[in-house]
Amino acid sequence: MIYLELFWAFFKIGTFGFGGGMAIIGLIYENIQIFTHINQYQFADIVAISQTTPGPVAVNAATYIGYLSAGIGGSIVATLGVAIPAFLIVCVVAIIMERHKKSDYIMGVINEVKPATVAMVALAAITMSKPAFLTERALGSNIIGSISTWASGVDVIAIIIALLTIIAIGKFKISPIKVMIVMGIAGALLGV
Amino acid sequence: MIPILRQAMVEDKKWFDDEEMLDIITVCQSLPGVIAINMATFVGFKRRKFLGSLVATFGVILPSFVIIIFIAMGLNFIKDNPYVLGAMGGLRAAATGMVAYATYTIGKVAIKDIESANIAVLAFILMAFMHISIMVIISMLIILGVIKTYLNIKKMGDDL
Repeated sequence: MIYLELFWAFFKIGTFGFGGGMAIIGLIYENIQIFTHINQYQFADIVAISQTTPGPVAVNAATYIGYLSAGIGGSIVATLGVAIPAFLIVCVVAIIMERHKKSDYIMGVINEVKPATVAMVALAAITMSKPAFLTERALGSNIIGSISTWASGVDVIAIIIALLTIIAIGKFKISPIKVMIVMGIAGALLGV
Repeated sequence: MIPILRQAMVEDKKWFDDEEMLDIITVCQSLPGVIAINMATFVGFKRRKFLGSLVATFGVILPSFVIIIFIAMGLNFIKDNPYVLGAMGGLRAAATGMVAYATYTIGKVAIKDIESANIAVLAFILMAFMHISIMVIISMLIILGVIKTYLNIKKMGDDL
């Protein structure tokens, strides 16, 4: 029953999704392997779109994946699945913190898990690298021909875009959504 | 996201002061789930208990839900268009760059000493090369966190 599978997959994601949106991405990929119609390439597309649209990446990705798997019903079920555990956990923590101000156990757990979230995000970046940089049809190939590809399959312009994105966000502190939109337009203009 | 939340709650609605806000943000960032939902749930609870958290959470999810559905439906029709393919290629590359950059920013905050560096590296090796589930690793760290906290509390009690 696809709705149950979707709900359960995203419920697990919502429960263990420490570290914010980027870390959750890695967890999402791990848990949707059972939905075989979503491969690494589609996953990268889903993440890309989820980052460009308003709202948290993880929720957008859940909605999108749910929709691809089972239509609107699927998107509702997946979104609920990812939201409910966090909702319950935060309610419990809110009640605890009302009585104890700062719970040692909560902070202790948080501090122990925090370093692992870095690994989660790193893994997500690596998972996305393959679909982003290794393509059959590289960006700009119909304009600049074969130099758009390097060593059979590496999309040179894609790498340039990724580096420019990092510089724009990291050094110039430009809003991520603006950068995404610009890069999307650039990609559209270059074509494949 | 965080500046928007702070603006809305500290300055516009005046529900909390800066110090309370910092505590709320810290906890919401560190708990599982997305900070936007966590904040909505937490603030909603503080203001109007369970019903408040329900309403706030629903409110924060609904707009992006609707937008994504429309985009997913629309993309279905135009996905073979070469411009769309090009745009997706650009977005994928940019998104990968963003996630890579996030590794750096989160790393700066989360890795402060040898111990946390060890956890991060070990977690990465286990996940990436031994394909151990992220959830297993998180579970073990949660248990470790509880044990360490218990031992710390006991130690402080013994020292007194």
